[in-house]
Amino acid sequence: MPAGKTKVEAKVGGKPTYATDYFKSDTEEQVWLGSPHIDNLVTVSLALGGEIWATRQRQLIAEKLAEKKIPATTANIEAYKSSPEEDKAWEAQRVEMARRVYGVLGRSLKPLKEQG
Amino acid sequence: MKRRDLFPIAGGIAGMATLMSGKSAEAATRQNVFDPYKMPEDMRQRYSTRMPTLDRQSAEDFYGSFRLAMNNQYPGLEEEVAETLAEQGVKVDPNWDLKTAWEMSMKDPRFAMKARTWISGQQLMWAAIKDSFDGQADEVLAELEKTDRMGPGKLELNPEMDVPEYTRYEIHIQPAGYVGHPLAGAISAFGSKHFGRANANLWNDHQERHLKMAQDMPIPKDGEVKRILDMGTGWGSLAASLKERFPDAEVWGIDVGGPQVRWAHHRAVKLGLDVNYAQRLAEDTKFPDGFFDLVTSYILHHEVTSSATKKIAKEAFRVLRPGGVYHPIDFVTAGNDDFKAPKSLMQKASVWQDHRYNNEVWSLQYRATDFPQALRDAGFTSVTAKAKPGGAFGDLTGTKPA
Repeated sequence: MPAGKTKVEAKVGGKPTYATDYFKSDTEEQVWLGSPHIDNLVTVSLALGGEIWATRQRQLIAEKLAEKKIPATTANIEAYKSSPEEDKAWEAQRVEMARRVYGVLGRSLKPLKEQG
Repeated sequence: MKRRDLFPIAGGIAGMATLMSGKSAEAATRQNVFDPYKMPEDMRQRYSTRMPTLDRQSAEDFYGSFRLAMNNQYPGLEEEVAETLAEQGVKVDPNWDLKTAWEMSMKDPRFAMKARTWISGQQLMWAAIKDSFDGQADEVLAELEKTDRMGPGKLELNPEMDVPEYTRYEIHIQPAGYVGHPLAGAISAFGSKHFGRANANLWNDHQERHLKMAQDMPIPKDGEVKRILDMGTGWGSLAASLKERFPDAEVWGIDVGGPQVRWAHHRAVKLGLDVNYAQRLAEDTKFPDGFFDLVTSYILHHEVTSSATKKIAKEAFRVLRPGGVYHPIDFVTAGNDDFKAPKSLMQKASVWQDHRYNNEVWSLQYRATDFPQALRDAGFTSVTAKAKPGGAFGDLTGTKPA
């Protein structure tokens, strides 16, 4: 359990934040894989997945815009409204990418143990 | 902002099927009845919200999909953990408590990786949302200042309110929790989309989950629903969804977090919904006796102390009119025939991980509390308690004697 509260400014720039002091969790201090560096590297690898998908998502939207003869400007990409069919297809692509790239993290270690 | 609006402005729920329910058309309250999982395109667009930048939204989407993808990547884990422990001379003891089950399971590297990736995904999801809003905080706060003063619904903020200590934790490791970040409501709202991704029953990309809960909400036998209270409303979604179902009702959402109700009000303004939000405590709502026909809450109780749960049940009883209905939506607890305490090593370890490292500070207290009995003790009769099919939540309803 946390020892003390994290202070929060009641006002910023003279304007009320309506926020108040809170107890910070210690979850980010946990080391579970034998070294904080390994824990950090796992987090880094997941973060990279998020960054890669973000790039892929922009590309997918740019392709959709191109099909409609709309310029793939930053504003057009940011403002793009996806259809339910596109949402479904992109969710499936994300899940498949995650399974393909990260599935190995869940693999059984029994064969390795059996090999000695 | 150089991005899609956080909320596309839109009107009511025109064009949807409506009907009158209850004993007679005179007494019953008008309702909009629809299937949220087959919402028409105009409504889908209205509820199609996105974070301030596409890149951060895409990253958040990915972390949700990652969780979904990894759900079934650990077959045979329980047996493998037992074998690892056996190699270390430890036999799995079915009487281990939750903490011991977790500590023993963490001796297995595959289990430890599962724990690490789940928590890292949760941390990254929150970081994506928080970074997105922090990066445009001035702009978003200026937008909030405008909507603070707009209707149709009211906003009541009480910055001098005595915020109970038990509410000041980073529940779900949300950065700064529900009360400590000026944009906590926005952060919670987008986090809720993520939580739903790993379970088809919790899908919430367009607020489907809350709209469905509102559609399924039990109502008084006489069909009258003139006033509704959503306790611990957070970012206001269930209250807004109830307004969609009962367009003529006076709907209130209250929450301890000022930033929460501020964002809830902002959403309601943008959605064109006449819902009132107030920064108040569920234990002490300040409403008159018998004011409401229906009182509800969504996953409030497992985030408060057992003592608070009992006080809140009494307060719900006080503010309901005779014949009024209390329907708190939350996980199944002791006292419910469908309650199952975690038994297997993986179940125990998972519950401990959620409590200790996902910072569900009060969830163990909550699950051990006989919630149905708390409703009876508060004065409710006709208390029904069972598990909802296909989901994690219970179906608990109490009626105030007529």
